[in-house]
Amino acid sequence: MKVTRAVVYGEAVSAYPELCAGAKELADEVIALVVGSAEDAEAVARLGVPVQLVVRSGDLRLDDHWPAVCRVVGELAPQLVLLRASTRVRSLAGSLAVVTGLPVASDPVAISVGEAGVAYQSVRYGGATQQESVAPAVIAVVGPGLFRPAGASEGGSVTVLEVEVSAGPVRRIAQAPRTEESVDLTAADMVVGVGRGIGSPENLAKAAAAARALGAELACSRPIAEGLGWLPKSRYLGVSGATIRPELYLALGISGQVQHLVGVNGAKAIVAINKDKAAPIFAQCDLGLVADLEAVLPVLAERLA
Amino acid sequence: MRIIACYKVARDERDMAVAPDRSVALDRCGLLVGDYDLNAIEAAAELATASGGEAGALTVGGEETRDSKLRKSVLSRGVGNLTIVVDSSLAAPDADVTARVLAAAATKVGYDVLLCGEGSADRYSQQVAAQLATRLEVPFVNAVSRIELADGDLVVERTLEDEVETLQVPLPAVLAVTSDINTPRVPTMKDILGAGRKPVTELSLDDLGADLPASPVTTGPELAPVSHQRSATVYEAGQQDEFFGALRRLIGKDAK
Repeated sequence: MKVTRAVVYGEAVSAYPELCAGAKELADEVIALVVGSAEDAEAVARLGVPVQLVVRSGDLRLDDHWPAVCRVVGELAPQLVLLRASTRVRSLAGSLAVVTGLPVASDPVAISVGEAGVAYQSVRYGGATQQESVAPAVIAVVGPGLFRPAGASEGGSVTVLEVEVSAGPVRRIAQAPRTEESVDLTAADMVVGVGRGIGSPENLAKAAAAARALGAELACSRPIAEGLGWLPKSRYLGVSGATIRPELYLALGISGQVQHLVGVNGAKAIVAINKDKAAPIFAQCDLGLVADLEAVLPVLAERLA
Repeated sequence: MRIIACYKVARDERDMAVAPDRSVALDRCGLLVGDYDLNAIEAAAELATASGGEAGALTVGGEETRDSKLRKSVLSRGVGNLTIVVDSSLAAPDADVTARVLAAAATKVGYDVLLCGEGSADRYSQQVAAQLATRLEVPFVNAVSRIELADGDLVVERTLEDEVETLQVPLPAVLAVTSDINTPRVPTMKDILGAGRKPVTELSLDDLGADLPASPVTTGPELAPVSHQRSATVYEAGQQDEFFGALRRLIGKDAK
């Protein structure tokens, strides 16, 4: 069962393969809204979807385009708006909700369509509880990994929209690029995740070296990225972070709180090493080792070579 | 400058017991103000000090907002007054309802700056601040990691995924602050004793004339997540060889 129309939007072209694939499963008609250049729109159209382009005005902040985006989406009156989560887009979602009257599903872990409309699973308390909600139409703000990306397809097109975009009340005085790297954890076959139990930046470096030797991506729990700042936020897994479905997830010093497990439960195999025998991860893994990482990290890559 | 920090009273999920049918008794859990809201309260207190203005706090919810310990806790953190909007229909408000009621309350109380945390402790939808600003038709900036005064406006730093913006924000405005904008103060005994003497105003939905339309959303019960059944074969430290043998077979390095 599908809704009639979905509109998808993400800040980056790289968000669209997943958004379009997800929207095609849920809606008969999928329209990709792009705020950017003609090249951006062409790139998205190669996914086989009709693209409506709001030409990005270089002098303006991306946020200055939100009123236009809200008008366009409002006129299209979709039953599903799929947005790729980002800080700017969360702000857009709030305006869009008020303009369209649609409820917002933030970071749902599942979306489907049934008789009553769009059903979505939200997590509460960082994953400690889940709740299903249903509404005739929904704005869903989704992180990477919820849908499997679509490949190129025929039949795409680009329509350039005639919309007015002007500077908003908030004026930019300066901007500085952030050095934080971006990483696509969802594409990796093997992911090594580190939690607080890793103990020190030195051990983290050893875990990173082991991950490189194994051809795995390095990821972490939220406290490592947010509290300690040992890894960039783009590498944390779980609620409001990334959701992964690798062949193997190797959890090092991860206690296994629900907040984290929500992001890794899709892994084919979960393997955990932790010195705390009572860590919840040991009840949620396929294979576990109760051991001090100080002793295991130096031999990890070699033992798996 | 009138600054108001918005906060939400949530349940302490550490107290949560899960029944075999996955149901949870949240109403038996303790109450708390989320960590992210404490950042908003601290930011309000600091901005009031910097501007010579006045900082207050505002919450909407059900009976739980009347909890005297939490009221005192909020009032011991550098804000001078508290406004609460209480109604039994607000016991589990979603972002839409919360933003509508906050907008009505903020308009009634009067404000120059409304500060919100990154997200609530329970829903963490990161939506209320954005919807609140849109309802009030005032400028909004989220992910604010620094706030400074500048000739009647604010200059804020906004930390995005790919860049840091420095923005001039005319007032009135709504800001959502990040978790690293400040370290919320730990109230002293004097702060806590003083909190009891600060004014608390309680408003009803009738006082606000707030019009709350029927929600288009139907929600099911709040349940603990389904636990994924995995084999959970756990080796002790002395069984490293067995563990690595099993792991090598699992990743196809050795024959299964």
